[in-house]
Amino acid sequence: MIRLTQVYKAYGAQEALRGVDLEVPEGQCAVLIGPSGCGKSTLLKTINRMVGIDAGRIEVNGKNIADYAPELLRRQIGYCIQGVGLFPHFTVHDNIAVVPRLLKWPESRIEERVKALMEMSGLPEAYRLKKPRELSGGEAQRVGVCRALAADPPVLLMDEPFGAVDPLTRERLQLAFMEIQRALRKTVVFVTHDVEEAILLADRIVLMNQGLILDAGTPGKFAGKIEDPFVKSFLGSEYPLKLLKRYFARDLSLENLPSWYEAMPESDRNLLQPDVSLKEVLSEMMRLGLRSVPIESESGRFVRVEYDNLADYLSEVSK
Amino acid sequence: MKTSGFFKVSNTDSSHSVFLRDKGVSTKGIRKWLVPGLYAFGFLIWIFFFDEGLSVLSPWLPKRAALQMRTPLHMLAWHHFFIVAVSTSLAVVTSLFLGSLVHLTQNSELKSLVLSVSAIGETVPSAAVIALSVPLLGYGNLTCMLALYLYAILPVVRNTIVGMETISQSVREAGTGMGMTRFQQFLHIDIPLAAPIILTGIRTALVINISAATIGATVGAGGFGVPIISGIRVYDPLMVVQGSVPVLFMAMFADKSLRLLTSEEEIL
Repeated sequence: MIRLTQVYKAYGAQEALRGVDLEVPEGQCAVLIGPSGCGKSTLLKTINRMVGIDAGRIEVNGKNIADYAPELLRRQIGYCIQGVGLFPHFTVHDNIAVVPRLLKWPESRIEERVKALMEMSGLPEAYRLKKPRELSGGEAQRVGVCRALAADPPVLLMDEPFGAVDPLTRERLQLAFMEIQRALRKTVVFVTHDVEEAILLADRIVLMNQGLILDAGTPGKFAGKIEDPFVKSFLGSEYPLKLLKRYFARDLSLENLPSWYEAMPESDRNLLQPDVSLKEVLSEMMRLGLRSVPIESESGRFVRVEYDNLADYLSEVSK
Repeated sequence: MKTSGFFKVSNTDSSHSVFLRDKGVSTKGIRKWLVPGLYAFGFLIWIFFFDEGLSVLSPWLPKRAALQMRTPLHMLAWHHFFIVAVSTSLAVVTSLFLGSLVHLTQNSELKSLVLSVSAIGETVPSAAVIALSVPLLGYGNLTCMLALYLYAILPVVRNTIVGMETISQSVREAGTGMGMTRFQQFLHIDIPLAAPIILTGIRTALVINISAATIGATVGAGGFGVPIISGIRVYDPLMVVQGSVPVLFMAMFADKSLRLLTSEEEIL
């Protein structure tokens, strides 16, 4: 668990953090989001003491981080940055092995760990001896994530890790990260300025502006009525539509829905499965010009999913 | 498992890659070293067979003064090598120390001080340094070595500082963020990544010193400057050529070899 209490940081006259309180429960992913210069990256870097704080207290797993030497603290916290920062003269293997070697793990254990991480993140084993310049942007970022996870830290800090790659690669990386997070359940603080990324990855979205946390909550929370005009304009009027991408057809309790008795609509797509996102379900309705579509439930029955089911689900998660 | 200091090279596959690399050396590598090899060959031929060549060609050469060289060319070669190697090595050690100090302290005042002091060493004419050092160090190799030492510092110190400054910010941030100490970053990131640029500085310094060492003969230092200066004094162009050509070979050999080493650093 990470707990920040009344954290202040100023660069000269410029106040970067103005009394921030934040709690990230164990195994959850908190996404810090806000405009450039709002203090989100500074806040993330205070957790591993890349940025020293002027006042306040930061605890990681109940221990005050000020009690640790910065280097020792950082070896216990995974860190992943936008520029990746792979060491160009090291192979992929040696890049991933940096922190375990700092922690003096035996080589056999490091080798096992590197192989397991590469497999988990979808990197072929043949890449182990490649140099970073031989990798694409997406592959390099996968190595960056593996490196952050190498010593199996309980806490992971990710500073706009997928910011510098093309949209398609970013989506793949996000899905890969979701898989990894689902399996490992790390306590993650993730910085981004991309609302869709926040919706997809966050257990909790933390919205910042001018060194303060304006609002925080589950991604669903922001689909409802928002009072703060800044939060409203930053998240944008399409927020509920973007939110649909986070949830899947199976979340609609398909077994409780009525069966589809009519003829199957003509579609150039395969029949909808329970693992499609609600955004895809809505797209399909719009494509076919229908207010309902058939979806195959887990038991193999075709059920009728109506537009109202989607709207009701959204209003439910936004409560 | 091969271990090389803090970071180890991973085992089975690395032997595979070394094997591949060895194969590369056998074909491309030999061709690559052909040019410096030719320079070295030309150098050796010149210093060991100059007199023989001269006697063969004597009917076609102008009449020469009676004054002849008493020290054989290979001894002069050794003197030249010694003067250049000692002065340049000491300059490299000093420069690496100063450059690293500037980098580690991140002090901009120290940086400008080091750069301006070493620039003075570079800008004062070497002949003047040699002349001014005679009252202090007397005649001989030492005076020449001091001048060369001062001459070699700027290119190396400047490249050390620049080489370490140009390391990408994200690489630095990653090193710090993963818990490397400042010294570990210096050893495992700064030095290896700045090495190609530092080597370029060393190459520049070495080539300058190989040529500049000839001036040492004016204050009694040995080396190929001896026939050059004597040749100028007695108006014997052949004597000047006798000393100049091996200097040329030496400088070109050093330049080409260090270029190859630097580019190899980048490829591997």
